Amino acid sequence: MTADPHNPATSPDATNAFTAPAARGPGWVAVLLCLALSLSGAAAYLLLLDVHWLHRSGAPLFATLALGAMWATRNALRTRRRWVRIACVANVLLLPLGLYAFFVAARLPRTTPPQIESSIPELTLLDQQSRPVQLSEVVKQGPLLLVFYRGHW
Amino acid sequence: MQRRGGRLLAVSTDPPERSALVVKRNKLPFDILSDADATLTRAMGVLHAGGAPSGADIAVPTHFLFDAGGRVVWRWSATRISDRVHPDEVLAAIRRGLGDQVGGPAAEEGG
Repeated sequence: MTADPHNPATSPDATNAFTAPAARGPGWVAVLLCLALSLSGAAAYLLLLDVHWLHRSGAPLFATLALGAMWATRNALRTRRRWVRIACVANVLLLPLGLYAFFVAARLPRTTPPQIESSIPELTLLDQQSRPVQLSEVVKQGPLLLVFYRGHW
Repeated sequence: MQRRGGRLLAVSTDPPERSALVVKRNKLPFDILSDADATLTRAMGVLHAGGAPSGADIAVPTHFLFDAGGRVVWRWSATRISDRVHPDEVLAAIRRGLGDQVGGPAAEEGG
């Protein structure tokens, strides 16, 4: 629309006032939705530890992080608002952070296998009521499922 | 396990008092052994040196299934902090490793 001095609606300021909001691109709602998508995958992974298909491969986690990262990249490229762009970059960075956490930080050391077929050690430990339990005696009475856990609950 | 005359025992490096709280709070039907100096943990090759948030030695979460002869017939170890063994996997290992042998003094208590 060329500027016509006699018609205020066509002055550059009026034009900018009508087009500026849309030209600024995605806003905070898009950013927050996008963050929610990325974080929902991470939250599900951390909070639903007994849902095995979520943890078998980490694929659901990375699918949500990747989708969030792609959407955030798209938002970042289409926005002109600096803080929105910064928020989008932070969102994209959740993906490498998730990769690091999954493949590096959460790894446990390899256990040295006492070979299958090896036998129970000759040890006596105290149970939670401080009663001594001799492991070799326990297996004499029947099979044993021995469960080591991290403790510190 | 009980049907096969067997038993489940948990092990951690927690002292007995803390394990007693865990048993009580979660109403666990099995006992927890205290391996405070990680002797058994080391003997079974599942030490995670400095793995606790405090820097203390703990175990890598591992399950061992011993038959009545005291031999390991199945094991599972976590590779990641978030790993949990699926209960079906444990049950299948019990059936495979111990067969359908029924009996032993513990089985007479029922369940």
